[in-house]
Amino acid sequence: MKTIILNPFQKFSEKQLIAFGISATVIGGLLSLLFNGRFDGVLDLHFTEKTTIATTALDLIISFSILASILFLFGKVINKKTRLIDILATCFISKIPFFFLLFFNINNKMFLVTENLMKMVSTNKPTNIETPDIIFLMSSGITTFACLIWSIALLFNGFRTATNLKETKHILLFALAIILAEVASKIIILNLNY
Amino acid sequence: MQPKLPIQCPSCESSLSVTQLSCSNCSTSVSGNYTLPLLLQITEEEQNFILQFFLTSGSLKEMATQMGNSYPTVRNKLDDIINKINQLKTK
Repeated sequence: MKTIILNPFQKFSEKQLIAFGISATVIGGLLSLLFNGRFDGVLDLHFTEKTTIATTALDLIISFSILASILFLFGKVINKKTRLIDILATCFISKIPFFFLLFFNINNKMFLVTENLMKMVSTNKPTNIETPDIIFLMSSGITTFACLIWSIALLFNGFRTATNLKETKHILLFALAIILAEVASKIIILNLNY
Repeated sequence: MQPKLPIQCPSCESSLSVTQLSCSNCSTSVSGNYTLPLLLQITEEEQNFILQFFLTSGSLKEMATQMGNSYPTVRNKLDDIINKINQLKTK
């Protein structure tokens, strides 16, 4: 069970992983449309007032393309035998934990709570926040942190299996690749401003 | 139970070598100092992996299906064994 949750790349074939990953991404895309979530970065999820099919699709396409390209490039540097299909499977599967977080915005709950919080902060009255909102923010914060760790663990395990990564300098290259992908996707999505 | 061929000294962990061979039919013994062939210097699990690789005509995909592992996992295992054998060769 632990292998399936944290390292499915060890057991399942690339075809199974890609098929599952694409299906999960389609469902995640539909959920983000329904709950107004935007994946506006490789490791980002923000809630807005309203999302469209175009923004959801472009967010996912851009973040997947950038992450896959950078990981594949770095993977080839580490091991020439690295295959694109294994990197793609890693990208698709590692996004799944983020899709669970979309449920925090049922009825735009998360968006409204954070908007309210921002207004209170701007008016210097943060004490006005209600207890159920504090509990909601704390539980969503803890879940977000857990899902982020899960996603990075999936990314690392997928990349490690795809490249046969072992040395410390290669682990540092992986970290650099993630940071680069995050910065690049953020810059591109912000500049395109669709 | 098939006894396991020891390849490392249990005392100092150095590689073991063959010093005596005997015929089970007539009990003739041959003494000498022979180093173990490369393929016997790797673990039993690695030897079985190589045997399976040979029996599947070198198809890693078929091996992956048979072992219930993914293709890159099997390929990584093979790469690790190749590296180990290369290191043993240079010793």
